[in-house]
Amino acid sequence: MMHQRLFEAITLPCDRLSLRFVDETTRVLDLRNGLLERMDTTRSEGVMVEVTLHGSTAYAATSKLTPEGVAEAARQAAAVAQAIQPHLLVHPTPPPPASGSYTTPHEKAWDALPLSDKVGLLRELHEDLSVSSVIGRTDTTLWGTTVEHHLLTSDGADLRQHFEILSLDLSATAAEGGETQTRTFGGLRGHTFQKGLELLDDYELHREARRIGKEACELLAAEQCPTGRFDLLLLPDQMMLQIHESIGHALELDRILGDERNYAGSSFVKLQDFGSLQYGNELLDVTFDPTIPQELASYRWDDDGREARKEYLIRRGTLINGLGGSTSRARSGLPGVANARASSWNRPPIDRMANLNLEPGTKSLEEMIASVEYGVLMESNRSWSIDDYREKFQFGCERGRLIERGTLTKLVKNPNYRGITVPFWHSIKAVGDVSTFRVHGTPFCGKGEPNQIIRVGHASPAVLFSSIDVFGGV
Amino acid sequence: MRELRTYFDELAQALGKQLFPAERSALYLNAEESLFLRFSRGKVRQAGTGFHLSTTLSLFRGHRSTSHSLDLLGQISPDLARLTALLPTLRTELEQVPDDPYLNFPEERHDSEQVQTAELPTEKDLPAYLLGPAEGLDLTGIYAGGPIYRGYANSGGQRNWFQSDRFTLDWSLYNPEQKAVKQTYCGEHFEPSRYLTLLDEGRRHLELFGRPTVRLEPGEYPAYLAPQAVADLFETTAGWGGFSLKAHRDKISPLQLMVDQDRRFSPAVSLSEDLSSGLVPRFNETGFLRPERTALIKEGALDQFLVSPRTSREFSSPCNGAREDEVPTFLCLDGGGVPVAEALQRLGDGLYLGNLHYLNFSDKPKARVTGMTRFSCFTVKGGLLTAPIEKMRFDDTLYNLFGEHFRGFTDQPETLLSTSTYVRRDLAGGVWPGLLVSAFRFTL
Repeated sequence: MMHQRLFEAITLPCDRLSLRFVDETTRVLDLRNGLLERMDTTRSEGVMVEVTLHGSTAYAATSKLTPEGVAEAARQAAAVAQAIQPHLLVHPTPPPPASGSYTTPHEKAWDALPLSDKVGLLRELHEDLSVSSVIGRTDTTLWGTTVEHHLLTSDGADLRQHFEILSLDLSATAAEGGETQTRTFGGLRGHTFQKGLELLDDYELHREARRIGKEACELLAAEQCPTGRFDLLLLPDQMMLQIHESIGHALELDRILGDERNYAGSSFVKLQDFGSLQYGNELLDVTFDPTIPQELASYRWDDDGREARKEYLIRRGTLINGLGGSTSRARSGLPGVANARASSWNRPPIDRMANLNLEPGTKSLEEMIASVEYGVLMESNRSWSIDDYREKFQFGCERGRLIERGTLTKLVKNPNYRGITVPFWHSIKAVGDVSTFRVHGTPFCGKGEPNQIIRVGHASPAVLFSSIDVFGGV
Repeated sequence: MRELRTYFDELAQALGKQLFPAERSALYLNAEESLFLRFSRGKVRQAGTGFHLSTTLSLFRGHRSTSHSLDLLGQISPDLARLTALLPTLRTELEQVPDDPYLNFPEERHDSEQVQTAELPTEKDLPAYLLGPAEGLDLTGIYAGGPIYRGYANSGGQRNWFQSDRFTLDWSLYNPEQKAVKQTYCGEHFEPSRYLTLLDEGRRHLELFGRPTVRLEPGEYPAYLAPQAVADLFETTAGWGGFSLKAHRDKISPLQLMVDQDRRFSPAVSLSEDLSSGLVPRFNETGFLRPERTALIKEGALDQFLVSPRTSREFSSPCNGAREDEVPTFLCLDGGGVPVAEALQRLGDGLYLGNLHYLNFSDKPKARVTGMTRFSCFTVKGGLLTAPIEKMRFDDTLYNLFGEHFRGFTDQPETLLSTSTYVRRDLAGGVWPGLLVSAFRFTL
């Protein structure tokens, strides 16, 4: 009701009016070495007012959620729309209006567990991580976020979405004799899901924490990862970054159209490549899939109000569609997907990844390992870098295992690899089956001007690549 | 919003009156009014304004604390009511959390004030200022401008206020082959004539990209790194805890070897956090004042660390008002003896690297960093820029770049303000010289 009242407070004549309300609350519990170092709650609440006037669209975002505040914002947006009218590059193309609602399937809200119990659990996990005196630092973190979205437009859209997000992070750092090694729970915030506190029941957390602590200690004594061109088996918590950086960003239509060239970068992909570019070999199938309930960036409508559904972007290695919302769809002539997303109420929607997944294949992990004469298995990302056209990448992982004559053998530390996007995806030797498929996500994807950090999900099986440039530490 | 300071004072004072005897409170304010104009291909891509007022209310009792942040209206009565309504929640939370042995609260009152005002372009003028002179150019980037505010107030009466009207203009000019020159113009007074001069310089620079692009083989090359590239290296180091006392004690700093094994850079490397320009607040988010200058690297050796109030308690080390993450906000690297105009002549043959991109550590404990070349990168022959290069991946250690392969810094460091706008417009920057190295290692 309040939103409708605020909507009605705007009386200025215009072609189209859109109000996107966001009310987001994040509770953070961070323990370092078993002590509660950070406990805070942040509630961010505001509205993005978009006004289209004489064919020109501009926005005004405000935290003044009063009739006067939103009316003032609408006047500001109209003034900007008028000023930029002679200089327009793009006419935003809103999708057909829809109405409805979406709620994250979840069982336990953040408050279902008392604060003292949550802190108590994180302290216990610190104890579990501290398996040895060489563990010099532990981090145990729980973040819970609730987001309410409400999109109202003058052409009739009325969409409400409620998201529940939980992020659990465990980390142990071991140091001895000038060597430092860190193990985490699937890379930085790799266990971030759209789910309630019942997530905590999905894992044997105490056992996981002891494993992480033990693995950090073991890495201290491990040999350096060897250097050379080998087979490379990546587990899903590293595939997450590989998909994100060398497929996801490369397929964002706003990058291909040139909007991001000054900041995040462009793409080696051209509009004419869709339908013909063999992005990888026939084992590569990639989907945009906002329908997986637990995956971090699931939703029913994007922030422009376009309905989201599962769509193939790469099928049997051929590039067939890009990541672009309604406006990019109109500019590019490609179908695109429902991915116009904003980080919050104070930023306009742009083309983002949401859930971008690599579809499972047919091989078990054991079969893939057995097929390798000599290679390295890597897991959990710790370093990532790629060029502005998304071609030359380099990644580092927390932990590696040698594969020799079809068997996992020695533990190796500081495993890194580098490559070039298209040849890399052509070097897939096998794609893991559903038994290797894991859902991950990260709350930290940065892009856009003004800059926006957004949540993305990535699900993948383990994947085996042949003849990759692998190397270790100094 | 010129009355925002009065509003903040009244809010803090009224809240202080509602505390129970054993309680203390602190209020931190983040606010901005922004005009954003994003452009691509010389035309407007997206434009708009933003008003964002956020406050963090922290409640302390004994060795316990908790805090909540809220976005507010900027009107005393409703905002006070919302913050007041938070107090019972905060009190309940305090009941449930353990004592924090390292909790730190500014016991002595230190007020401060930094206020800088200016007239910035309005939405009416800005499109013509920026895009009029760029007719026919493939110009892409963003203007972000308007007032930024930071405030701290606590129940002990301390008041700190920072207010600055400023803008950042961050753009690149592309040629038809999609090679680009990167430029920024940031400050507190927007002068259209200065922008025109820079745009002309960029246009001339872009002509160099008309020459055929050179593809380099992986290997080591003598190089000149422009100030922005040097900033990228140190800002990455700082962002991963390079100057944080806590990171060093936890042995996760990229400069860990400088403490554990006395590794050093060249004696020509001296780096400090220097707040004397007044461009960033002199207080942190928990009300601790920051010294005007903190020497971080002195003649190649680590000197002081950044020490947050909490770290200060934990490691019994004097606090220097660092932020909780112990990341610096305004680094200054001392210049050297290479006249800027002679830098390329001193290089002779090698590479000019204008910008680096997407840096990360490939072996953090060993300070081994990787990243890409981007924008304005050329071959140099006989001291002259000769041809643009294809993008290359580098992977090298800071000890090589600022130690074994170090040849000198230029003599006129440049001030570069942060153009970051994640969540809110950033208040950070630095002063950076160019760098000559005898070898810069490319791997892909």
